[in-house]
Amino acid sequence: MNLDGKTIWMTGASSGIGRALAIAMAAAGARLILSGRNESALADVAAACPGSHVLPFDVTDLDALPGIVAAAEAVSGRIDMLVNNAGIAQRSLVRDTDFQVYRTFMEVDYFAPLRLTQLVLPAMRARGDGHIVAVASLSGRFGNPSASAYCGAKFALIGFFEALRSEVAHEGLKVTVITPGFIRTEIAGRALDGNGKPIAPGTIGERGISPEECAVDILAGLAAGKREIAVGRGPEMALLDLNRSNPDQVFDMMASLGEAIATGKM
Amino acid sequence: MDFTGKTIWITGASSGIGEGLALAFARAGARLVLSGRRAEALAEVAGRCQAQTLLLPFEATDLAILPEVVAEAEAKTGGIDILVNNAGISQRSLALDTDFDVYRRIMEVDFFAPLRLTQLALPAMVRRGSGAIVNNASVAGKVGSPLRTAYCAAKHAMVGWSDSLRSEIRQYGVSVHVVTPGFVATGIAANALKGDGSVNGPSDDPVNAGIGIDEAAMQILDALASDTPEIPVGRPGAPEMQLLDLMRADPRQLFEVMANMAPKVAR
Repeated sequence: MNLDGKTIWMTGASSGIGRALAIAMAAAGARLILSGRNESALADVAAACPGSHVLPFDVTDLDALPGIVAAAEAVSGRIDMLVNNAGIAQRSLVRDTDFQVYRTFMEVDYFAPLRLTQLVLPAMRARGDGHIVAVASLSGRFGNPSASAYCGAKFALIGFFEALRSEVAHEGLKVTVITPGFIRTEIAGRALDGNGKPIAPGTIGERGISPEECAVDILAGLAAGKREIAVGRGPEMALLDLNRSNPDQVFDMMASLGEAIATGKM
Repeated sequence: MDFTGKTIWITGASSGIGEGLALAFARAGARLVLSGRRAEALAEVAGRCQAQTLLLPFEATDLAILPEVVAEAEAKTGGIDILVNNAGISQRSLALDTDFDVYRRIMEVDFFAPLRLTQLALPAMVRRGSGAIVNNASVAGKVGSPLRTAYCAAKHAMVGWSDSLRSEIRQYGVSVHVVTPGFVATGIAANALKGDGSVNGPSDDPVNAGIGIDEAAMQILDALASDTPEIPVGRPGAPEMQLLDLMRADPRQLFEVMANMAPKVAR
């Protein structure tokens, strides 16, 4: 896939995978529209993305989205690719998780990208050309402990985009789902506890590959025309294959992990 | 898992797979709590169940009343052994024709309602050190398919949450089962929502040609009896059941198959 001259709209572009992916795509010649809530962080990213445009907004303010989409489409007259990257993670056991936290996750990790996609699709469809990318997670492919709300929302995201792909592929529109494993970003520190509070904001995860390596792998996957791109280089990636060949064994492994977490052994 | 003398609470029990399960669990010697919105239809099903039966009609999406409903179910039965989250609603509309509110509605019925009910029923099971949660999802909870973007999302969500829940609560002796039915001859297609939120009306040929509710219930009981975590339900070898295998063997090929279905359903 040639990104040169393409207009790419990235949510969650101020840090982590979104930031690294935006910079890598800009280096490949794309014109970026950078969105997120943190305007000054977006400006820093924009400085590394020649010709980019900053469009800050809160992804969960759904009423504002039609106006935001119109503003994004006005930047260069079209959106070639939308990357739904913004999201939050969770670190709390079911027993400690308020019901309201389940709603928060579904709002941020599912309804927000769904609504944005719904608003961006008509122009792509009219043109018969466009690409929607959804950054999910390995937790969108198999269930793991301390992540019941996150798994619910990321599974939902994948279910929606898989079904959408089946409907729009014949119209020339592409849908790609990305399932990252461990990437060294702020996502773990920003993860919400059972009361909906971030557990350690500002800290960077120590496990996994760098966001820059992640961006390289995503671009390679997009260039290869993959519909689903698994990104990561650690042992967690093997669980994707195991989940397909022997899901019962993944259930067993995860239950052992769940017990270790609940009993304070890890 | 033995069902004799067990108290089994089924939502969506007035018709379809829920009705089939009620009759089958009754035959297996269980005591029943039957829930749904329609009290008369529940009473009719109860009349055909040779079992001690409590009727507990309620609106599944009125989450505020659920604590009372759960307390009543537990008080009147002495404890719930198995909760079967069966109530659900499907969809028949392209994403491009589907109002955003329909996505919310389907997530509410198919995900948040069973999640909240489970959250409230779970503490007693954990205290007792035994119990089972049975979540009725769908093949659409494993495979994205056209005309069902909202339904696939909500059923995938149910599967993801269930798999995570299982990983946390097995240590307390509480099991979690995910049922993924293919086509079963029920009112699901007729009751499905269209893009504007109205009811679909006619049923689908594939649904009409599906297995009967008694056969579906028998498959589910057999799998629960052998403590199977994930339970596919349908006619063995039927096309939609093959999709489950293909999703595991070769997801790329599956995506190809699903995308090739799209032109047939597009306007």
